[in-house]
Amino acid sequence: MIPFSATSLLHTLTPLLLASAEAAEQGGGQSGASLIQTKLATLPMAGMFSLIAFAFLATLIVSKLSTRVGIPAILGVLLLGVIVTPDAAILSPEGAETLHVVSLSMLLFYAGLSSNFTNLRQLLGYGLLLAVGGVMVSSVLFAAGIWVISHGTGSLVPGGVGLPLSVCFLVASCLGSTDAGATLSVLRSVRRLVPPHIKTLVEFESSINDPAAILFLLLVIGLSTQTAGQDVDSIHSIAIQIQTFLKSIGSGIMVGLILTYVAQFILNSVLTSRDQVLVVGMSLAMASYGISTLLGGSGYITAFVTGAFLSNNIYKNPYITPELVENSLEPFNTMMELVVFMLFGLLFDPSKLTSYILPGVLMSLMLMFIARPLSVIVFKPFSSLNQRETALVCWCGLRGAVPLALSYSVIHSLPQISGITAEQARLIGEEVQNLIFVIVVTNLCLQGFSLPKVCRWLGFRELSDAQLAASN
Amino acid sequence: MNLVVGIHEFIWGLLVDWILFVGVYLTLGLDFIPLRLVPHALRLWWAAVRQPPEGEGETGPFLNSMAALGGMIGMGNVTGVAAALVVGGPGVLIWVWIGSLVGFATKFAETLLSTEYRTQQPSGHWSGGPMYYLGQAMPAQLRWFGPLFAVAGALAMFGVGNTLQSQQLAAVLQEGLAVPPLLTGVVMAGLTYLVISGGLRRIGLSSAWLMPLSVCTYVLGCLAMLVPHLADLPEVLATIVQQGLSPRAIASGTILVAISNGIRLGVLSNESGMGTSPIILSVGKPGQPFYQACISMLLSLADVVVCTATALVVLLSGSYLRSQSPVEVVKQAFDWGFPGSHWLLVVAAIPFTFTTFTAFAYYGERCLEYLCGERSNQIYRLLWVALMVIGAVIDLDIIWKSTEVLNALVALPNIIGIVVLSTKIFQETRSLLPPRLHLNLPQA
Repeated sequence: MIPFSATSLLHTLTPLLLASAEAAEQGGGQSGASLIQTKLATLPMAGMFSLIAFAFLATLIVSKLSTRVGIPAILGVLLLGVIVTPDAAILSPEGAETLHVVSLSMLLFYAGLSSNFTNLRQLLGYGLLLAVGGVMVSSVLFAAGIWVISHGTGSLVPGGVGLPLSVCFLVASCLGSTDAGATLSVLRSVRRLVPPHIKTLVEFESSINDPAAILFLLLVIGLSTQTAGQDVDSIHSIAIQIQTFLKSIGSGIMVGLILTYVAQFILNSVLTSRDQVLVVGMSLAMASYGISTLLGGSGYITAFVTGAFLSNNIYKNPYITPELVENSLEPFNTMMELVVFMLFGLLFDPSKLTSYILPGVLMSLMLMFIARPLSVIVFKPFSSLNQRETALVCWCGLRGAVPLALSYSVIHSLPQISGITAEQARLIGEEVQNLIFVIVVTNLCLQGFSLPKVCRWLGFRELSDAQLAASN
Repeated sequence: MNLVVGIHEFIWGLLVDWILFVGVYLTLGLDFIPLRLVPHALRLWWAAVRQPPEGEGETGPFLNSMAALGGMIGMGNVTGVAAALVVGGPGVLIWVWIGSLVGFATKFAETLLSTEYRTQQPSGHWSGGPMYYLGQAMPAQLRWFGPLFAVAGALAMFGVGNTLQSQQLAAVLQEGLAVPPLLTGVVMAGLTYLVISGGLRRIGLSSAWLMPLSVCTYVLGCLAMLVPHLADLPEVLATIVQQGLSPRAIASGTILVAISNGIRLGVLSNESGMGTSPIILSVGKPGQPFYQACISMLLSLADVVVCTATALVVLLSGSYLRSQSPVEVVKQAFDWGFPGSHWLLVVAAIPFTFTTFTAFAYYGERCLEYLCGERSNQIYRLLWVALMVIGAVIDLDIIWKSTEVLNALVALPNIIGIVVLSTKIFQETRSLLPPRLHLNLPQA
């Protein structure tokens, strides 16, 4: 047990320790440093430990409270983060960047682990279609919606103008991925109402559409930066973009293959006890991001692919059971998700939020009532679901950690996009971050709050204990 | 023209990667079994040379492997290596090795499946190859991959195995010995027809005369050139490792060029993933899948050896720094080894190219036979030699670029098929493994 607890503690503490160390570095220099921040800077190590411990306990209490109220637990943690620091300058941009990369690759690794293809059986094709096609359809629709809304409400926001179309696409593709954790945490209260195959489908969809959204985002970023200043032979440059894009997926898959083999070798021949599986999992998640990025591939895709290959046991290794993987890594994922949301809350600067509320809420409504349902209904002919079940899937599109993490990637790529100056990039970046925050929060609130009611309203009948047992 | 070149670059830029991925997947999925079987395969082959095994098939292991080797070793092992070194630097060699070693598993898998699904034609001769396993073993909705492979294969062979080779050979001979291209084309076409009209047996016999002689002469010649400069060898090897693997090379990004060029050569030179050489390998005696698959890897091994010999001579001579043209690089390297020996290139070119003509004619013929039956064989042979003459005289660059695109349609169904059938491959290999080899695999 010792290696297990020691490493898990270390790993979960590292981001927060990093955060406090960063704060200590810059604490004095910042003019607008808040009370909490200056206090953080002068805290001794022991004090920092206790603070972090209390922060974690607080997240647990908040998740309990939010589940009681009926909103997803992660939303509570996010808001807790926002409340704790009214000032966002706690981390340097580089520190924030590192944290995003680490947390996002962990989340994707876990998304891969939870994408169990065999559970889904006849719904597999539909699940894939819903995840990949759904991201594209809803992103395109939603991008159009964002463009219309941001131009309609342009005078309200500090920039004074609407977002350029390419930025609308970026924002929309960020928000393409749904969050299984959020959806399932809400569905738990009505688990007798929801048919098990819908639950599996929603979980599968949200794990596959994480990488799908990232890929779509990469493609959009690639295409919108490539058009800069290249008027000749644009087909050629688009072809090169698509080739690079496919190559980065390819190298991601290859590194995933190799790492999966390494993991299986370690699981077979190196491990001395089951507790060490967690260590293997975490090192793999980080290695997959690092090695693949070094070789010019897409690190997030590699993290996802490694997880997916491992959980689906592509090398037919008799030692790897889904239970082993799930039981050892699920607690870790819960921890990671809490850390990520807490951090996003801490990093978010709510001071300019008020002017973005109206456009953000409008966009969120547009996402929930138009983009998501249409993207599900388009693929209805390929599914065996009935009307009610499809309607429920439409409403199960909760957005979570991945869009928040991706918003930072978008902000980083803004300066490279054609026709945007550095000054505009800063303004747009701020707008994008605020909008995504508002959209995610609104979405989590509304859909999370109403999902149990929608379930009852759609008339799903209660499953008996026997049926529940059969499904598990 | 631009469009064809564009499509060509687009597809091949990706396809090499994917062929590599499939190789990595198979190598890992088979727990490196193919690589560990190489000593066993060498013993099998040597035993077969001394006493040919009994069994159903067209030719014995020796003639069979020589015929396939003839198709695999060509001018790519000489000028292709030089071209990669010019672009990617010495570090390329390491990645050629990695690309080739990964290709062992692909070759193993292709031959295993091809032999398992080979079919006896009404006239009594055997036919095998990817089109047979793609058409029979795949899930029902993907069986059309078999005909797709055959159609693309029958057409694509005209490019890579015929007009392109014919044109290069004519150019080399015209420049080196002042032979008019038409003469080269007609003589080669005549000889080729003589050989291919005799079926695989005659192809094997002609390759069995030409290949051991020319390959051994070439490799030994290269080694002889290295002997006086053995003192410089450690330094060159250090440069290869440094430029191919060192952290500084990784940081500077030059390694990506080395990797892409090296892997490309390593993957393409031994045809792994293309599914061509199993067409010959699968019909040999004794016709046991595991046996043929073992033999198939030896060919890849020979291919790597020839590539390495060329690369070492070129690297030690330093000629890759002085010239951009691959032919010039090789010529200068040979002159550095033995002054005035650049005509060796011309001498090597004739047998290397000739055996490629005959082997690829057989590949294309089998593809067409799969589609139209045995009556098409004679037509294909005549077409084949006719295009050889045309290829020697007219520059058909656009045509061979188009057939390269078709080549992608050969490789694509094949590698997809191998991935789809990978579970079957993994299981069968493990069950066919002779227990006395003691490979110490994880227990299932």
